[in-house]
Amino acid sequence: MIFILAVVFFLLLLLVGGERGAVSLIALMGNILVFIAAVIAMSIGLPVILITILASIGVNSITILYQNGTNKKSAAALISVGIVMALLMCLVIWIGGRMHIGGLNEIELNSDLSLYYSFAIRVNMRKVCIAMIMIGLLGAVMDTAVAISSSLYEVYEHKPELTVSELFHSGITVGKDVLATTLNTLYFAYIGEALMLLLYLREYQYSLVSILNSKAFLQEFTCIMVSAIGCVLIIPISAQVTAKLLKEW
Amino acid sequence: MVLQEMRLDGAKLQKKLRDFVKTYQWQTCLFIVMAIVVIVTFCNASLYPSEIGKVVKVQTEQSGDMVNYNSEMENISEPYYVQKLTIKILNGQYKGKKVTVSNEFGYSEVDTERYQKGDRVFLRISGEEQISSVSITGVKRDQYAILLAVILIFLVIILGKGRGVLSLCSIGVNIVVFVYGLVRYEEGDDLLKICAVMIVIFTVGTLFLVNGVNKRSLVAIISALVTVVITMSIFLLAMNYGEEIDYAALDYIVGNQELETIFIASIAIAGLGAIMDVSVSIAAALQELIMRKPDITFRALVHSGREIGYDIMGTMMNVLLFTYICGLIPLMLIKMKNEISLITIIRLQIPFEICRFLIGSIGIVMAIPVSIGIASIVMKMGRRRA
Repeated sequence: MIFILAVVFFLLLLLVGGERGAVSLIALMGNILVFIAAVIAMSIGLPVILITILASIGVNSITILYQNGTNKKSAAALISVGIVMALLMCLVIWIGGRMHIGGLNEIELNSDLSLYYSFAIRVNMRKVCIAMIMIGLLGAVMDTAVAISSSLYEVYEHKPELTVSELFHSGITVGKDVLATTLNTLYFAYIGEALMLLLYLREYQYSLVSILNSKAFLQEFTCIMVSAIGCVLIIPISAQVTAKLLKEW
Repeated sequence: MVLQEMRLDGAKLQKKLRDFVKTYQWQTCLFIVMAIVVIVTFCNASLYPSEIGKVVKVQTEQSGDMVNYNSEMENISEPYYVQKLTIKILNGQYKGKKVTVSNEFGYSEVDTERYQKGDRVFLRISGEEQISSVSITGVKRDQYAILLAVILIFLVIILGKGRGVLSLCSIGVNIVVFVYGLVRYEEGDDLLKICAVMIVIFTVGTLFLVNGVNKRSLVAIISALVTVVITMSIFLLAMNYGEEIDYAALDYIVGNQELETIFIASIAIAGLGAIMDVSVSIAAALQELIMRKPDITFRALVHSGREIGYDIMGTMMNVLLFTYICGLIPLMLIKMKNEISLITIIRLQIPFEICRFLIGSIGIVMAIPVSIGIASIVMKMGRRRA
């Protein structure tokens, strides 16, 4: 079944997207390879947080530089994604440690996983959880950054006399449009997964308080919230960075 | 001298602060309200029916090693620790008393917790009048969840103002609809039917709320719904003609429920946001074009639509890719550390994420021609008649 779907996907992508579709496909494959390499590196015991940072840089370069070319727009998008990732890394390290959302959740522990697998794996799950959240937000943050920097670039091309602060404001205006749709994309992507989770929790008679405090629910919730916060933060940052880069370099 | 300067600085600072508050009046109010909400959630222990304690002192000692019995290499083990926790009870009849609890955890913390000073935990206390035994039943996490939600709401309102509030409203409405759908399912309604109705409500509600009630939103709604139908038909066909998938690998296996139905429902909802996003972008851009150049040919419209589509397609697929695969990391690591090869994991253990990603991406790609077609037909026809 996956084979059929994959074939349909490739054909459609090439049919509708043509050459650009092929480029997206290669970028997608590159990202998946970086992801797999990162998981292998974590499993042989390399420092998890360092690997996360390296993987983020790799994914960013592939997506932004390869897919959109090396130019000022891409440079601005790259820098702003970097700033947002650094800011969120601090938030995630703090809140991930306090919330105790690393490791397996109640549902996974209830399943037969523990019968087959040893949990003495010498990889700290608290850090893995930070890696999980950071990698999860990459896509959405890159999407917004690219949208803002390329539309600001268009504005600048048509009206080069705009000042930095005028450019910044038009960046914010674009950002508002992008924000609503990105929040929705994220919301639905996670709610599909949450559907199964909530059905499970209800089946086992979890009360509202215990759902709100369960690791299973909060792992998903933290992921979506941090991604959404990243999508909002990137708007002013990438508007400012792009405006500065276009005007002053 | 120094004191005077300091006083001057203080006065300046006060003036600056006052100016700041004056220019950003409602932002400051919002900030104060949000801060109060967060503070209240951090000290509302008395509202909970079960006992809550706060860890005030932690003593940790290594107690031994745990061997990984699945590893092929010898002597693979990780240290194990014992903690002596002093916990202050925050509510109930023992409020204010301190108890000690011991806790064990392993280095990797896969199925154990390492507690820190300041953690709040749910306790089970037995014994009458006197505490005879205490155990930790779980960590209290909801205050951090609220903190995150508050940060997000604050940022969205500050930055997006009216539009921001509207998009928060649309998400709020969607959550209510979703919860209501779940309630109906528990009462015994058919999940797929509920899901179909929910998808229509989600699409119509979100697009009308966020983009206003106009022709552009109407075009986007029709295109999004048509795309969902086409994508799901492809999925169902592939399911019928392809090999059977093993639902036993599904994350959350619920007793005797119809796993297939739940899986289909979750896939149908998951791609919806991305599909709506593509349809809205294309509808908006094509309307802009037709407004500026009413005599634009059908061919030129299709060409511009495709250009816009390519621009958003790649990054949208990335959004889906990363939201889906990030959740796989912990289980993949545990399995790899238990000598299961990467190939086996990808082939047998994560087909659901791959499926979800593929369906979502097919939806994104499909949405491009569908929205171009519907947008140009509706908008061009409408113009001609007028």
